[in-house]
Amino acid sequence: MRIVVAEDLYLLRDGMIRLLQAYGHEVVATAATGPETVAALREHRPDVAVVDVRMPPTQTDEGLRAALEARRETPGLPVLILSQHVEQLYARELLADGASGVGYLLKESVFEAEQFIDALHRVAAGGTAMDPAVISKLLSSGSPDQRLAGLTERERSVLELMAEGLSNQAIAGKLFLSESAIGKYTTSLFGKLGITDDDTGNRRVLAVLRYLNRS
Amino acid sequence: MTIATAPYAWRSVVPVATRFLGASATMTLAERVEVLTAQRADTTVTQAAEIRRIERDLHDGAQARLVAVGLALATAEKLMETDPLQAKELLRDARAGAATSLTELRELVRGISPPVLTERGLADAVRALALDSPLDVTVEADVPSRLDVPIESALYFSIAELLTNAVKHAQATSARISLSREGNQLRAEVSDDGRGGAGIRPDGGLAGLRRRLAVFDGTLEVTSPEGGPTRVWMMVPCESS
Repeated sequence: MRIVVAEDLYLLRDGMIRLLQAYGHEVVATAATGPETVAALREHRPDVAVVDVRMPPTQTDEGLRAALEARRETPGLPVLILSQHVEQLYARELLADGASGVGYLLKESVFEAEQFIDALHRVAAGGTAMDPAVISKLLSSGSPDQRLAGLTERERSVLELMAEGLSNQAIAGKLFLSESAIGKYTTSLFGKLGITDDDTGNRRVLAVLRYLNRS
Repeated sequence: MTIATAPYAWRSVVPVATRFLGASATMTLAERVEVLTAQRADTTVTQAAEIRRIERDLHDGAQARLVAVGLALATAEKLMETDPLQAKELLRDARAGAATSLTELRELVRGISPPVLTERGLADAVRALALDSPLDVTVEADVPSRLDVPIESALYFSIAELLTNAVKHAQATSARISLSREGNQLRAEVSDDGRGGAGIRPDGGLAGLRRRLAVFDGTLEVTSPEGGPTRVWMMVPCESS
């Protein structure tokens, strides 16, 4: 894949480039500030961008704002946000446009290199990769949702993994169940939540995230 | 579901200035000096205790863990050729240790200065807090995007503690937070639909909040009849910008 890496700390940028190259990917550009990130995304149109939240010049959420701006210009431009901390607030902003190809993970998710590269592929392909902590907070925040409360424990774990962006096959692997069993759970949980199950793959995940993101 | 624990800045420390809660307009200069001296003593004691706790947490937590990570890596390097299986296991341990250190450091940082406050300022940091609360929280904010850092921080941690109180003590199901500007004062109000009965007791949490805000000439008032609702409002002077 052709990748843009936006990270202001040399140590981490360098490490990320080496990891991506070790998996055979090409880093076509790097950026170390918010404005540089927007420019690099515009110029290179990468298959996916890995973007840090906090960057110069303001040392605030420059990276996140750059990613949101680039995605406003080019809806669905694949961006994976990496941060030292995850916030529901930011996740909701990233998901608000309902466009595909978005991820939001903790920086240490790179420790599980294969899973991280998988997540990157998923985002590049228009899927999602959301941090499990964010998803469980999205599920439990605010007033208890009657329809969510109606899910069985198993349906709830399937929903969580689906919202993180995993395919039925990957979910089956994680829960030690067959893919067809997962299919049955998804059908029943969609029924309970009132989400139409005629969408497939990524669109289905986005439907789930939209559902969780309603306030 | 998690309830935020008291951050460093708010853990109770024996107050010196209990007698002088809040500044009054009719104070003489001498009284004012006495109040400020006592407040300064409070602040110094509190800060020293905070810094000591942070040091201990780092020393026994992340620092020790990173030493262990380094040890595991050094051993793995040595065993790479003679015992690759054990080397691989050590590498896995090292990775897990690094991940745990990061989690610990993240929690520590959150208690000192929450990243979202640095990145977004008070209004959005309070919105983030509201989203993470188990309560149904509505936030209305009409304040300048950036305030003085110490005031932002004091109000943020006060609001966090009041939300925690609403969950733990008032058993509320919903809360409402409003941030507004009144003249050259910033007003923050937190109300909940819980069972009420909260009051300002000398060594209680609310008195602690009041002492914290007094450092900025801020005030805190409470109404909380038995049966609820509880309403707490804080006023802090802020320069017009």
